[in-house]
Amino acid sequence: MRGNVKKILWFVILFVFLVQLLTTPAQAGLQIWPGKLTISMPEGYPTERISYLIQVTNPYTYSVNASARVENPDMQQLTTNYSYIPDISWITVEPETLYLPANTSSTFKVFLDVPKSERSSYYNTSWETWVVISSDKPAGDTGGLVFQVELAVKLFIHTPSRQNEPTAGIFIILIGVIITSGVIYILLKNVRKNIPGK
Amino acid sequence: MGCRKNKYNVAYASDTKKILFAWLVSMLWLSVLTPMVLADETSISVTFDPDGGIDIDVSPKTNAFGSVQAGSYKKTAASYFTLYNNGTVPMDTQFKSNATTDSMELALDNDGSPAVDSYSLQTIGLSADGYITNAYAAALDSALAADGTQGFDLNLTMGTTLTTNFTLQRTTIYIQGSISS
Repeated sequence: MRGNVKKILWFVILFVFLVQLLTTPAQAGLQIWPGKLTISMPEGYPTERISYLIQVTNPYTYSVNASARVENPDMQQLTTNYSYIPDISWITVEPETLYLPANTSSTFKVFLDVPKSERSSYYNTSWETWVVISSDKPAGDTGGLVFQVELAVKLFIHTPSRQNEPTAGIFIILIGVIITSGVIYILLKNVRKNIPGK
Repeated sequence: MGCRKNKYNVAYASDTKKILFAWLVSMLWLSVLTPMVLADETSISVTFDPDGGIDIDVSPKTNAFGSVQAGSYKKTAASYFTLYNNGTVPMDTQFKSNATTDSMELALDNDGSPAVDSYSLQTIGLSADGYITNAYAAALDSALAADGTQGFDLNLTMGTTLTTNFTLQRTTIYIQGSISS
């Protein structure tokens, strides 16, 4: 009886060993979502800076630090009908580095902020820039050549097609104020006329 | 001497009422219009169109070429490396390396004609093979399908002249995956 248990135990151990040996582990690096993000501002530039979350997943059984940087692609990689963003500093990513424990996900926040002083120069344009995410996953010390994998999120930005016109609304209010003031002025004049001795 | 209404007092009261009414109407008008005008800027809609998750890897992640003589080349075995696209969309892959080895003794040549104290690296087996440059350039592999793999090998060419007998050199190849256009 005891001998049978031993045999079964050895069989189980051997089976597990063979399964581990024969199963090809799926290769997986950092995972990001989305791989492409299109931002459109059909109604005009918003006053607040635009933000969006990029999700990063660490599939490894150990923790990694993921870092993000904004980078224009090579000219040959630029999508047709898109141009580089005029100033790459208009795009920022927070935080610069993200600590990801094993098998966890977290997010980078991408911000787009076109300075007010520049907005009038950039209507109806399409920009492309990339947010590149890499990890400090150790590649090993052996060998004269090591690979480091990076992932790029393509950011496509469509600027407003026309200038947003808050000035038109302000102009309407101004006209209203002027008309109202005129009416009040005329009424005041009448009051003065009605007062004896005026 | 009771309070006697005269025509002046009546007219005065009537005009005051009119002024008050006009003032109230104008305030009402302003309070309605101002938020609408300001809303023009603060509630502008921005649309986001996210697409595709990407996940790329390569295996194995290291390689030792061993000794390579000046003016000669050494290849890894065919399809020694495998590129994995574990994402949900087709993917393009760019390659780059440092301008020099880590010890800065050998310079990376970008076009496959290494001369003095330099070397070049070329991919073989990708959809658009080429030399690895020191900045990301055109994709060397394009539109690798989701869940697809691509085998490739590397060819190391040593410069025609080496000014000394260099010891172990080490370099990093960066592989960048991006959603296929």
